Order: sequence, then structure tokens, then C-alpha cells
Amino acid sequence: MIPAPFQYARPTTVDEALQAIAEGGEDVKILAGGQSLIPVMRLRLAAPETVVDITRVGELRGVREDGDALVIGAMTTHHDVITDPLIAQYAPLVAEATETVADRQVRYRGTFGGALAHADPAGDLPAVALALDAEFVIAGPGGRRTVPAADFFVDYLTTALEEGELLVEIRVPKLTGQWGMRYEKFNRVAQAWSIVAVAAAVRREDGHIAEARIGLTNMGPTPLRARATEAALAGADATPEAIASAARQAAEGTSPSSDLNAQADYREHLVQVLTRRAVSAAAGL
Amino acid sequence: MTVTEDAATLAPAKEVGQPRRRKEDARLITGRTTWTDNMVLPGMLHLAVVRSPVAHARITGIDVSAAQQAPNVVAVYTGRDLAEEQGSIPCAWPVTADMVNPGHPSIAVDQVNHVGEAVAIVVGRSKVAATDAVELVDVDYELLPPVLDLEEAVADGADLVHDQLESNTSYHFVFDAGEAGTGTDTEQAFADAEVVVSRRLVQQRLIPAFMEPRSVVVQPQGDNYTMWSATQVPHVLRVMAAMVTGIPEHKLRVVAPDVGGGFGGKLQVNPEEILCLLLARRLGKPVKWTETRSESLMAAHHGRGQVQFIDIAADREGNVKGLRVRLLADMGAYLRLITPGVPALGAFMFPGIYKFPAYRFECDGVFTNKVPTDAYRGAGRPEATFAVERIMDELAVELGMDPLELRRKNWIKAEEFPFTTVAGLEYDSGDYEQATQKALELLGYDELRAEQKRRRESNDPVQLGIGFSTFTEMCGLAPSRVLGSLSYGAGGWESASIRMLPTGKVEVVTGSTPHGQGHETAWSQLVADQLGVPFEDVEVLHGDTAVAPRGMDTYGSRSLVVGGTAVVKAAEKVVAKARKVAAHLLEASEDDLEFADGKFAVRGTPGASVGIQEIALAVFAAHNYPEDVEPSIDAEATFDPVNFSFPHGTHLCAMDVDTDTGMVKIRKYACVDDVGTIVNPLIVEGQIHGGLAQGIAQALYEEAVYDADGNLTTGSFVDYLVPSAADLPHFDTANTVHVAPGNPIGAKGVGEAGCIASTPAVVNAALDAVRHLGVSDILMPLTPERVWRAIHQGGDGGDRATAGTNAYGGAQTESTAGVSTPASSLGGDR
Amino acid sequence: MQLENSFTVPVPIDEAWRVLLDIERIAPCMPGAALDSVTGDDFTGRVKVKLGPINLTYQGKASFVEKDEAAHRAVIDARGKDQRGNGTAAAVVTATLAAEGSVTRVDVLTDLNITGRPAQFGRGVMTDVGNKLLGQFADKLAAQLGEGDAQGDAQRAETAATKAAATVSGVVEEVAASVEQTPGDNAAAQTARKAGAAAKKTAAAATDAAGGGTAPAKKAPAKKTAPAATDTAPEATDLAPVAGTPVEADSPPPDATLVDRMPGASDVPVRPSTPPSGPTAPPSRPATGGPAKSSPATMRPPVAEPEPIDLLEVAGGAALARFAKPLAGAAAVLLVISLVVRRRRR
Repeated sequence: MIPAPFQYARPTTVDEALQAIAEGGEDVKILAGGQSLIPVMRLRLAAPETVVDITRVGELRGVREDGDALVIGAMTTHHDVITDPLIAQYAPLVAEATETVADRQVRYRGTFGGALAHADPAGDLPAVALALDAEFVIAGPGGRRTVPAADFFVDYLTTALEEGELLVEIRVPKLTGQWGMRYEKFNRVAQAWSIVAVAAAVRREDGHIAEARIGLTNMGPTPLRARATEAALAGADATPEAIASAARQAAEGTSPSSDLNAQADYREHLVQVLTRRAVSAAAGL
Repeated sequence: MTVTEDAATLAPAKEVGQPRRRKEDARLITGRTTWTDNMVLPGMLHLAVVRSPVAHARITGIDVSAAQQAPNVVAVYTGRDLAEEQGSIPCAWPVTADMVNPGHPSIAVDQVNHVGEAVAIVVGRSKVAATDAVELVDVDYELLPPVLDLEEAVADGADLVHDQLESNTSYHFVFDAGEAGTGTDTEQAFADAEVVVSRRLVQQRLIPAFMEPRSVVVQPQGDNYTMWSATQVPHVLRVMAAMVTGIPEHKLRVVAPDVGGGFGGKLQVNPEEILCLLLARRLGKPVKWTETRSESLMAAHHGRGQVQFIDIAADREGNVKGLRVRLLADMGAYLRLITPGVPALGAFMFPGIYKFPAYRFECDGVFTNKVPTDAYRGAGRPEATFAVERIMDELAVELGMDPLELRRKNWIKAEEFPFTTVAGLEYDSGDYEQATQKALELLGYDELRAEQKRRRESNDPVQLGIGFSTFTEMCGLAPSRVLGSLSYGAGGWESASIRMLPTGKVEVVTGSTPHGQGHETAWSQLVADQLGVPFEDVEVLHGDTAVAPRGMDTYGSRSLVVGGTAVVKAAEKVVAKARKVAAHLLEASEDDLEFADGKFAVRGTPGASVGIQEIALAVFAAHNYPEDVEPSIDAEATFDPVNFSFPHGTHLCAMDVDTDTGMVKIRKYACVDDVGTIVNPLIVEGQIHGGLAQGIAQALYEEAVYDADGNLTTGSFVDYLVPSAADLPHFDTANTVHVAPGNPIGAKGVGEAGCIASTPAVVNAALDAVRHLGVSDILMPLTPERVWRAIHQGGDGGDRATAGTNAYGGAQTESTAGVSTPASSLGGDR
Repeated sequence: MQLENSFTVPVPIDEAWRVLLDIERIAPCMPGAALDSVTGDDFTGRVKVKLGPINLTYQGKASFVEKDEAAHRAVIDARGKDQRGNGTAAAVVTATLAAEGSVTRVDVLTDLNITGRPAQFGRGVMTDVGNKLLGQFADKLAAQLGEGDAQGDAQRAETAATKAAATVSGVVEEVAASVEQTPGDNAAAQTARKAGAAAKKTAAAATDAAGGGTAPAKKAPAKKTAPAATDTAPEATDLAPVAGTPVEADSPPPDATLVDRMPGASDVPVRPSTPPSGPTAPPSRPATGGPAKSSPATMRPPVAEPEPIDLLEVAGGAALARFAKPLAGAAAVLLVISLVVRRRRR
């Protein structure tokens, strides 16, 4: 299919990008990896006036350390995330989840920031960002601001990014202590979106679980934290029984949709099973 | 490509049986060939089609003025503009004398009957211009109630798809073995039976999902037309297009260049092909149309689509006594090329490999407001095989017998071939026991059964099941007289010719048009053996009605069995003609000549020989040849089989079912296929693998889902799940070989075997894993949700889209004044 | 797909019925619409829908096909076509009123049919979107009906402050619930949690974003009755009491909040917001016995827009009530057919 006509800008710096966005007219879309935007444009479900292609903004690529955080450039591709040694060391959950994203071709093109800014509740990375309490650095005409993950995901396909703004980097806190992590994804074929998925990071101390962070994919219009389960796990024994018991609360506060892949009640069931599995694996059981 | 490079030169080794890598693959997989959409002709115009977004409606108005004025738009046409000349898409298979065919316009005139039906065409100077202008065509519809469910469609008082017809039933086809004299009275058999098991099974609609989208280019030259099309059937298309448009057949040339897959989906005379021809004629310029994937999924024909009511009768000892089948077969909105014939073709395969004494088959072809169905890999036979292999398992459960034991008790024994079945087919050769034994070994059956027992006893959340499919199918379509008796509109023969070029190279012209099967390689192997020429010296020409004037094309696992035989017979004629020339040149009697390894040698006279490639040069020069023959050793042959061929095999699937989530995962898959003589083991293996992928996909992944308004909600590959290698298990494959007696090659056909056999094996395996939990059926595809519901809530898992429209939907919220509840604000369901 | 919404409004059934039939009052309950014409029970208009990268504009017509006074049932039929040929949308909305003592239960059953490309996906987009839209519609309809005849009198706005105070919990909930629905509300919700000072600087921008017509709102907080200020001032009154609620114990004093709040409510491009399920998510409430009513002032529109309305621009979750008369008619149902709206992707 052929997209409707659009204006095209390909800046090379963040400042140029912001300018291009500002000048792009009423309906501007930012092209990062294009793995979601381009199909929608080809279907003509989107017909932006201007596409600002930021693939040449080199400063947005790469992973670096900054004190107690990893800083992942928004334009770092999934492939680069998967193979990055810093991420492997400090945020293996990010790499594990990214490896489940779509297929190899998509992972070479698609970007970390693009996937987060797209905020598809069935996408894998938002729940991971939420579980890890990532922060989103957003550049706009008036400078930069930082938004915590809990405030970034606003609604279905909707984030705290305002018109004229650009997600430039994501700060992922390095976890200290004995953390185990697991991304438990449930889908029907390898390249499909998650029906439900659970991102778990668990810190163990002396045979019990000191802290658990659990992000849920596709259990509502935004990624969610399984707060009730997290609370139940805090200080719990690292036993299958304790984990199973806590996981039974994983659907609390969620509002999954019904679609061709699953009805809501099935998703509510799945999330409990997957949470048990993810937490168990993350806890080393 | 070098694997067997030396084989030919060293070689008396026969080509047939060599695992030659396919000589056509390099150009196919690198795209360095002429796919239809690669064609660029001077002055070429581009078509884009405005398609109906609604399933059933009267067209009350079409405003094309804005589109006409769009830049680079040449013309815009509606059905009204083309009504006089468009005729009807042909249906070549009136399965009953009183079959109702409402006619199938290429472009809707007054009424649309399925989502995706063409309602207007934009012709532009570029594809972009035409595509942009599609948005500007404004169509008004007066909605009619959509007819979507087969059982509702045939109920009294049902809404009608075609209101000029009396009902939604196109035809009622009956085969009764008692009446045909091939079996006893079915009703009596059931009346006398000790055990009767009845099931309602559903064959969901599938989408062929070939890799290359459909594409067509038509070039007018004076009163001649050349059509390039991504089709499986250039020869059939030529005849039919000539009849539909009135363009004389001899003024129309059809070319299928390299074609990227079809699976039956390109066994069609497509509306867009006719439209391109009409517009090229009207505008006098070349026109091209290439579909998008979205168009392909919603407007190219689908496959399967049946509700099957199947009853089996048996005695307590497990001897089957009768089989009764009633089908509702989804035609879709119209009858395309062989739409009605697909279920009728399956009619003869329901008895499978079993010795039923009585059999009755009835089928209603039912119109619905969906895209028409037609051939899809197996075409009637997968549906039949699924039903009989599923019901055999159900009977085994009812009898408390081992499902394999039940099969063994009833299948045709090796010594009973040839065997005439209750459906009147004469099965040619085979040994079901041998294939089954081999498959059991490949699978490691006993170990898996032991593990299954352990898992059941320990109440493991992951249960294991083993499923059988001991199948046969009819291939080598088809004996022309049989097709005639089934009212099919054409024969089933195939044609080939061989041209011996002066340099000794060989051109093989085949009427069987490949679209990925590897004809060029297999035919080269056949001819290399027959003529004793190197494999590399053979070129295979196909797909162009000007080059290969006679042909019946490729479908129904017929190419090697029928088309390959025609090649062999043509080669025999070449040798016979060359023999005369050789005798002349060698000054010997024909009777004293031996032909081996490409050389005619005089028996008992060492050194006196001439090669067939030298003879080709000699007749080209024509300086010295026998007076009573023409100076040519070229030959052609047409082969019309006397019988079908009947590949068979045993497919075994071991399946893990996660009862916590409903996820099913194939643990191990083993199959032993008997496809007769194997010309190229690599190609056979590839066909089995591809067939398995598609058959497993039907069981686990694929389903064309329409919502309650008739929208195809699986309108992209996001939702129509075609599995990749990552989703499929390792396949343990093997073969037994029982030569087909019906053709000189001894081949039975392999194109559809994997697809036909695997689906019931997979479903039977899943059911075997959870039957002890009270599950007796799960609808295909076995989505995790369906499996989970069947285990935990009973039933068959339920339909996926009937709860509402637009893929579920349906939601309730409660809120109080001015206040959103979490449910209402978050879109949650109750 | 069928979508059901039920709610209870604290006015007698006859009063609610009159409002229900007043298309000019219920139309604006649907976000994202523009009316082109109103003729008796028939009306035409457009609905612009944004959902992440998806952009659709449906153009069509709607009409009352049934007004059953005895049964207190009204049926509206609406259908439209996407301007890019992406298919059609049609809705039959059946609203039924039932007296429950002095309050009225409203059941809204919407049969929503989407065709064309938006319908060709199996993921729950359409369900989510339709449900969310209907949820929004129902919420605003509830508010509108809840005001009964009173709302017809614009002057009633002066009572807003006291009413708002009386119904503080309801208001808090509405604002919080709206968080996920419109940026303006999101900002509001956030500001509700935060100190008011930071919000001050957003006032100007917010007001601008709400539309040129709201400019006077800057001065509104002191006098809710100022006609020009009704657009945004009501928000301020709604939110002011927030400060006093236990929910927002650390909120600034009313006056400060008032000032901050007003911009917050209509403040579009300014600040991020919280996810709907966050700590500010509304507590569930019983179906009956809800808050007395929302402040009538909340129903004042920020501005009348001649163009198709993007939710973002209208701060829809808060209130878009009354357009200028020619525009005011009956887009409600037309909107039902649309998808949800959301723009701030990236």
C-alpha cells in the first residue's frame, strides 16, 4: 500500500528535530524505527501532514552510564539493546524482553524509544520500563524535562509527550543488591504481540523476597504494576507457595480488554499464572 | 547447487532419486526474475480498486466526480459502466444439474455481497495517482442484513444473500454408496449398528496466503491481447477469459511468469483479471493491477469453511459398519471457478483408508456474505480426512479401544490392493501397517505413552497427548472421464513436448505451470534419465500459452503424476524417432540398436554408436536422414490418467498441553508418507514440510474470522496468524515406497499430503492430552483461550468472534452522575 | 459490538427525559465532534478521531428514530463515512430512563458497527475505543442529565461554588477519572496533587490552548458569573474544593488552587499526567446514591469551535457543553460512532 502524501524532514540533531516538529504543521508524526507508524500510514489509517524522520539524529543512539543509572538513547535499536554489555550487566530484564519483540527484521529497525513512545499496551517494553521505574527525558521547545514511568504512560497509545516534544533518552536505574529478573511473555506465534506478559524483578535477601517489582503488559490501556502482588511479596518467604499466593492478586486493579486473542476474564487468569512463573524464575526458584 | 555436480558426468547413476537442489531457486529467492508486478510497459496505466467496506448492501449512489478530477487519473469506472460487457466470473463445476448460480460480476453493479467486493475502479497514470484517488470515490450503501452463519443461512426464514433466489442453498449434492452400487444401505447399517457416534465438526475458513500477491498486466496490440498474471492456471484462464470477455481465444495469450506460490489460491479466474482485460480493451493501453496484502486477504478466495455432521456406526468389537456425512459448505457470496466442486471432491475421501460397508454423503452448498471459497491446498480432501480421523478417535473412546487398534482393525490390508472403496474409488497401492510401524518408531511411541501415563498420574499441569492420522488422499487430478462424470467442465489430461536443439540441448515444454514446486528440476531429472542427457542440458519452459499451447496447469498434486508422465511419454517418442535416424546413420537395423545413457549402439558392434544429442544436430542439418521420416526428432505427448493415485501415510503428533494456560505445543511430530516413486527427495521433503506447516496452522493458528457484521477481522497478518519456522517443531519424516501402477514414473503426488494428514493428528493429540479432563472437542484453531476454556469450563472453547462485532466488543459500564468508574474510563469489560 | 452503559442521575425522570430529548444539550456530551446542520430531529456533522497514530474523520448524519414518552425510551440512529474511504461507522443508541424514587436510572445501549480498515483488526482496539468513547459519553450525559432543567439556565453558574463544595467527592472523582481522557484533565489531576504554585505559570498557555475565546478566563476565578469566563471558570470552582478533601490533603488553599486549577483544567500542552489507574484513579461508587450532581458550571464549554474537535483541544473530560447555537445540535450519536481520541503520541 501507498501512504497518503506527506512532508518529510530528516534532521540530524535534536534541536533540528524539535524545529522540524514545530514547523511541521498541525499533524506531525515522528519516525523513529517506523515499525508501527509506517504500517499505519500504508493502511492510510494515519495521514500525517509531516513526518520527521529522526533516524539520522546520532546523539539519540547508544547506551551509557550516568552515576546510578543507565541512559539509553531513544533511537537505540532493539538489536543494539539486546547486544549491549551495559544493559546485560545492569538491566538484563530490558534485553530479555526486547528479544521477544516481533521478529529479527523489526528488531534491527525498531527503536527502544520509539516503542515506548508508541505506548502500545501490548508492546513489551512499557511494562519493563514501568517495573524498573525508568525515567523518560523529554526535549521540547522550552528545554528538557524528566517524567517518571508511572506518569509517562497515560492511556491507550498515549503518553505524557506533548505536541512539539521528543523523547530523547530513557534513564533506567541500576539495581543494586541480589536482583533476579524475568520477562514472561505469552503469545500465539513468535512474532505476535503479547496477549499478556509479565516483567518481574525480584530482590532476594536471606531466603526471602525483600522486594518485587512487577510490570504487566496488555492488562489495561497502559502498562500496569501488580501492586497488590508486590506488596504481598515484600518480605515473603521465597517459596513456591508464597509466590503462588501473591500471584493470585496479580489481576487486581487491571482492566484488560477482550479481543480475538483473549477475553478479559482469560487475561485476568493468565496474568496470575504468568506472574507466578515470572516471579518464581526471578526469585531463582 | 554443487551437491551433485559430478553425478551426471560420472554417471550411469540415475537422476531420478537424486536429491538435486532446485535449479530455479536462485532466481526465485533472490527475486531476479520477472514477477508480474516487475513488468513495466510503455504507457502503462495502473488500476486501483474501490472495495466495499460492507458485507451486504444495495449501492444507492456512487460519486466518482472528485476522483475523476484528481491529478493523473485517466478514468474511473463503476459496475454500471461495465455491466454490459463484464459477463460473469465462470464456474466450471456445476456439481448438480439444478445447481443455482447467481452469477458473479467482476465489479458490483447494484448490490455488494461481501466485504472487499469491487465497486469502482480508478485508472491512473501511476499506481500512486490511482491509489490516492480511491479515497475520493464516494459510495452510498443501503445496508442489508448480512448472512454469515451456515446453519442460520439454511434455516427457514433466513435472510437471503441473493434476494432473487429462493434460498441460500446453491445445490444439494448426494453420493449414496447403496444407490451407486458400491456399498450397502446406509440407513439400514445405522439401524442395525450396536454403536453410533455422531459429531458436529467445524472446518474453519482459511486464507491461502501465498507469498506473491496477485498481479496482472494486460497489453493490447491491435486486436490481440497479452495477459501476464500471477496465476497457477494460465491455460484455464485463457479459455475462461476468452469466454467471459468475448475476445477470441486465438487473440488472447496468457503468460504466467515465475509465480510466487498459490496453494490453490491462484487456481482462479479473478475479477481483477477480467477487469484488466476489459479496461485494456476499452482504453487501448497496457494496464496493471497488483493487490495489496489487505486486498489479498479479503478479496482473494478463501478455503475450507464447512460444518460437518458426521455419524459412524460400528459393532462393539470395533468393526465399522457405516458412515454418514452431511455437510454445510460455505460457498461465500458467489461461485468462482470450482467453488462448488471442492466439497464434492471431498465426498469420495470421507471413508479414508477404512472398509466401511455403507456410506452416504450429502452436501449443501450455502451462500453467505463472505468472499467466495475455492481451492486451497487439499481442496475437499483435508476436510474429509479431518472428519474421518477425528470420528475414528471418537469411536475409539466410545468403545474404550486404543485408537490405533481401531484403525488397524478396519483399514485396508496390504494384500487387498487394488481395493475398491465404498465411495467407488480404486485405491492403487500401499501398506498402511508398514507406514504406521515406521512412524511409531520415529516418534518413540512407547516411551511417550509411558510418559503420558506418568503425567496423568502425577496430575502434572502439562499433560501429554498423542494423535494419529492414518490418511490417504486422491491425487493425480484427474482422469478426464471421471471428471466428466462429476460434471467438471474440463478434462484432467496434461501435455508436454520436447524440442531437441541443434547443439544437443533439450527444451522441455510442459503444460503444468509451476508456482514454486520445482518443476524445472524434477522434469530435468526425468528427461535426463529418459534421453541420457546431462541434467544441466535440459531447460523447462512453461506458463506461456504461446510457448506451451496445451496444458491443464498445476493443482491437486497432479504435476508429476500427470504432467511428468506426459514428459516421459514425449521423451519416449523422441527416442523412438531418434532411433530411426540412428539406424540410418549407423547403417543398422532399428532392432539391433540399444539405447542407453543417451547413445544408440549397435548390439555386438563395439564403437558403432551415435548419441541422441548428435542426432539432434543431424536432423537440424538434415543432410542425411531416412527418407520416410520428417527431419525432426521433436515430439509431444498428452497423458490422460485412467485412475487417480492414492498417496497415504501415518502422521503422529505428540502434544504438550499446559492446562494452566491452555497453550498447546507440539512436542514431537513424526510422519511416514508413501508418495510412490520419489523423483527428488529434497523436493518431496520440502513439500511435506510445507504441507505440515499449513496443516498444523489450520489446527493451531489460522482462521479467517468475520465479525457479526461481516467484517474480516483477521484482515492483516497481525491477526491472521501464519506460523513461521520459529513456531513449528522439528519434523521427523520418512517414506515407504509403493509404486503407483497408474503411471510410468510410479509417482503418486506429494503436494498436499502434509497439509491433508497433519491437521487431525494435531487435534487428536491435543484431545488425547486432556480427554481425561472431560474434553471431547475443541474448535480449530486451538487457541490457548479455547483450550483453557474447554478444560476449565467445558464445551469446545467457543467461537472467537460471535460475542459481538469487530472482534468481540461488547462491554458494560456502570457509572454515576458525572463520575467515571474504573470500568467505564478504562474500557474494562464486566 | 454492543456497548452498555448505565448510570443514575439525581433528578426526577420527567426532568431527565426532557434533557435527553434536547439534542443541543446532549450532543456536546460526545467529544470530538462538529455539527454541520440541525433540522428538527435530523442532524449532520463530523467526528474526528485520534488514537495514537491513527487518524479518522467520520462525516455523516444522525436522527431520532424513536421518542417513546411512555416508555421513556429514545433511539438515535447515526451513520457516517470516513473521509479517506476507510469505511463506515454506524450506531444505534437506545437510551432508556427508569424512575428509582426521586432519581433516575439511565441505561444506554449502543450498537456500534465499524466497517472498513479500522474493523479489520482482531486486537481489541475497536472495543477499547468504542467502550472508552461510550464511557466518556455516558459520564457527560450523566452530568448533563443530572443537572436537569437547571442547566438550561446559564445564570445558575453562580451557585457553582457551593454546589461544588457539597459534591466534592464526586467532583474529585470526575476530574480524576478524566485524567486518562484528556490532557487538560490530566494536568488538572496532577495539579490537584501538587502544590498550586507550579501551576501558575501554566495558566496563560493553558488558556491559550483551550482556544482564543477563553482568554478572559484568566480573570475569571474571582467571579464565576462573568459570562465570558464561564468557559473555564467552572473548572476552577469544581476543583477548588479539592483542597479540602482528605484525598488531597496536601493541596493548596482554595484560592491558590482556584487559580491554578482553572488553567489546569483546560491546559493542554503543558505537563505530563498520571496514568488513569494511578493513585488518583477514582474510587468506584455505587450505582445509586452518587454525588448530588456535578457543578453546573462544569458543563460550560471552553469554547465553541467551528472545526472538528480534537479531544485534546476541548479538554473534553472536563466539560464541553454548550456550543454556540448553530453548532450545538445533536452530535452526540454521531460521536458514538467514532473511535477514541487521543493525540499525544510523539
